[in-house]
Amino acid sequence: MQNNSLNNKKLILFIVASLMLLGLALVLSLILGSKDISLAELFSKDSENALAGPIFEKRIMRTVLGIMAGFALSIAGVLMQAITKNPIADPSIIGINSGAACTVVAAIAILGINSSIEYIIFALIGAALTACFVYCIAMVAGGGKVGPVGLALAGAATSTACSSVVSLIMLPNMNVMEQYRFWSVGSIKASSWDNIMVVLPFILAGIFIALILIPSLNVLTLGDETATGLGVNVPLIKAAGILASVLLCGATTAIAGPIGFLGLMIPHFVRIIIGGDFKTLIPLSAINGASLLLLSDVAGRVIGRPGELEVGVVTAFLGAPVFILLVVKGRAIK
Amino acid sequence: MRTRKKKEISVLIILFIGVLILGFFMLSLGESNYDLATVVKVLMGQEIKGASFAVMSLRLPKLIIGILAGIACGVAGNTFQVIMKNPLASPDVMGVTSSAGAMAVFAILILGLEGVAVSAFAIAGGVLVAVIIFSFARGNGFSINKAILMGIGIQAMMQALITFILQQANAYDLSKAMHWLSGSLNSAKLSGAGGFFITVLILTCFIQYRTKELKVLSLGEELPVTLGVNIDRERIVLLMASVIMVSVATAYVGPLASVSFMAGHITRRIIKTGGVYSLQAGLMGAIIVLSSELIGQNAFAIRFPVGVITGIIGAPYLIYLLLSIRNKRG
Repeated sequence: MQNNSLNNKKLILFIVASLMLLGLALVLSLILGSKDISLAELFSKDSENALAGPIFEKRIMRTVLGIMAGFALSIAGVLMQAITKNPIADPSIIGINSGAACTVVAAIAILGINSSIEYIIFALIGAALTACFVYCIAMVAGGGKVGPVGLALAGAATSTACSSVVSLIMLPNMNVMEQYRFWSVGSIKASSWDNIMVVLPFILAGIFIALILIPSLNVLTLGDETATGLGVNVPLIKAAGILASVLLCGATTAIAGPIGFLGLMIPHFVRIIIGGDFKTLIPLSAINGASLLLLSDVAGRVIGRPGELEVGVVTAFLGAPVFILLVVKGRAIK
Repeated sequence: MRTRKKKEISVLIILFIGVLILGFFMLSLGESNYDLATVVKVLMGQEIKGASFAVMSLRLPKLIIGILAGIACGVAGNTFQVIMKNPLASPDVMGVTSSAGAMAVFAILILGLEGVAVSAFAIAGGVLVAVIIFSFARGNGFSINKAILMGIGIQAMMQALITFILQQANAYDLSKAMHWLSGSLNSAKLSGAGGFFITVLILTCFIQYRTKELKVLSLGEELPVTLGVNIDRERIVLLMASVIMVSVATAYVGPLASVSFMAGHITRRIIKTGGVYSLQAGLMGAIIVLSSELIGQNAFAIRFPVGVITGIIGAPYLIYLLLSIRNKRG
């Protein structure tokens, strides 16, 4: 009983701390950048400063997108890890990024698409196809079980194939190359509200499915057989989980490009502190994922001055050591 | 015993002939095609208008650099796979190649270096990653799965670094950098390739000379100790020799996707006598590189760098490999 209340206290403390961190990240994301905006300027309604207006609008857009992407990638990470029972599952490991890039580049070259909405749609299609493909290969290779090495290698092989196809299409064509290189680094510099509105429904749908799945996911941790015994339709839950994670990271990749390792780091970090109950794991991963993404973005803006360091590079450099640590500690392979 | 030796040698000879034939095609095909007689005459030093320049200044450097790169990747990949007893454990799958590539791109685009300095950066990148992977992956007994996973993680990080560096590059350098990053023989020059040649020659001979130790390492963990082989030292020396070779090749031609993991595996599939076959794997690497180059340069309306072709061949092969060794791993 005592233990329980202690846990509750810890949980509440963690929730408060997470929310405060998100608040801090939000404010920093709004004020810091290639041009700093002071707090006073931020809250003064009448913007006398003619410059602050458009810059501020961009900052808001970017912060909103950061929160969306942080939510989406972290929840996608939780789902993938739960379903594959594989602690290293992450969009960047599975090769979803290069799959999305591949379809986008192919569509630019073959169909001549050029609006950002079309990019987003094709990126979504590519992400979904890649995820299914890699998952199937890992499943067959593991004899029905998706092992960490199988998943990572299937992802690596698919990435290699996709990037070869990308070069195949792109090398003869300088225009495509120029467009692609700016898409191929993850960044939450959104171009317009319209683009955000295009991906928002997909992300909301993904989050919604994830929330519905919470009770079943908790049962799934007991093992597939037990879960089936308890009346859970395991294949259906898994399919729904994969669908949700593909929607989430596909939509994010479509608008922000590849942002790796966030979905890998955050759930682990949250799990260590509050344990593996999905009721708390999913929302808290989402909140902390958003904070980390915003802070990485801010760090990239500050470090990279006068230009900026894209957030995808920052998360890769934060996340890869975490990934390696997980492997070293043996959490990735039992 | 004798038939086994015979088989190994006959495969070696066949592969060598294969390299010669492909080499002839490399010299003969291109913008304008020349017949065997012309190619031989030019090689003998006879001056033939047009042909001399195309063959001696353009095609011969490509051929030589291609063969060297193929041998380097083949031998190194084979050594990795034999030591770790796992066909998936090759330098390209494990991030050694991309790390060498990232450092080389950094040296070329940001620091504006060329030649030997680029090789030095590439070697530093490759060795660094190898050291990280193998020092962390030791723990209680060397875990190959751990090493592979860590390699994939590092590869993802290096990929981010490469894209970042590419973004910093101006549009003029970009096209060159992209070609190089796909793995390309197009800018092959013989001047300055001496170091490459010597590195490949010495390290290949060294690894071939260590065949016995390599064979012992491939047997398992306990046996070598009883056979009086210092496992850790042999393993590190042989792996480092391979890493250096792959890194130098990467510095010259860019990361050639999949060559190092295909060459050794295909060779062992062909010979099947349970040996090490470093030389055969090296020639197989050269064959893969040369034939991919021929396909890339001649089969399409547009010329593609060799690495694009090896990548497209290699990915399905890796997937096939994954599927065919199923259930062997957890």
